[in-house]
Amino acid sequence: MKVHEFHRLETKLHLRTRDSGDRLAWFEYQGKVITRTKRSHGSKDLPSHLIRQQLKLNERELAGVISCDVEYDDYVQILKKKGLLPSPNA
Amino acid sequence: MQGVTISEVTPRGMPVPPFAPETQLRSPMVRNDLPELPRQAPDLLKHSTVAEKLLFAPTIDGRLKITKPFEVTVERSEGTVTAHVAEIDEFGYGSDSSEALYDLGKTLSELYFSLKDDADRLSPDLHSVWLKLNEHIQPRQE
Repeated sequence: MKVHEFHRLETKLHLRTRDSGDRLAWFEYQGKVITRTKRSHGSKDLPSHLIRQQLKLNERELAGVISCDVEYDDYVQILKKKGLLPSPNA
Repeated sequence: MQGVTISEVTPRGMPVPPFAPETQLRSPMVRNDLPELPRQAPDLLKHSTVAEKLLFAPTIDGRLKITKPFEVTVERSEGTVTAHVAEIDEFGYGSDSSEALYDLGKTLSELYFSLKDDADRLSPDLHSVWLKLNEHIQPRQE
């Protein structure tokens, strides 16, 4: 995965980061931290299969995020289907 | 004065071996007439995806100590080396294994503090990662 692709991922999925020194980025939903991954530093290629696993996406879904077919709402639905989001009553 | 003649045979009559440079005398397998081989790894090895497992317990932060080593899989793929801890699904990466392991150490430390800060609002999946991380990492006593 190229650095610009990771930045797209970060923007599309509304991943949060604390400051520029952080190596981590994470996805929050309704105040809960749901998934986390590693931010890009430098220009080296990132290991996409490991980032994909951390974000709980399959290959097709990750390709969809990078190619703009999968948006934030779709990601929420993907996580819901996988039972990774808290239920509304929780 | 008569000149000294060097005999071509030993006193016992064995023929003297022909003179050879010292480098050739070290081993009959050494040959100096071959071109020097390139020192870089062949392409096959550069792209090798053979994984190596190791136990990892460095000092990752002055405030933390690793009480139980992490099992790390180091693997090269497409020019990048990754160091992956499957148990908690965390990784480091770099252009060689030292860089990947250094990156992993920094990431583990940051993950520890990040999950600690958010411990009360983690998803069940990340809560499980936090518990596993605590089996390996403990804060140092003041």
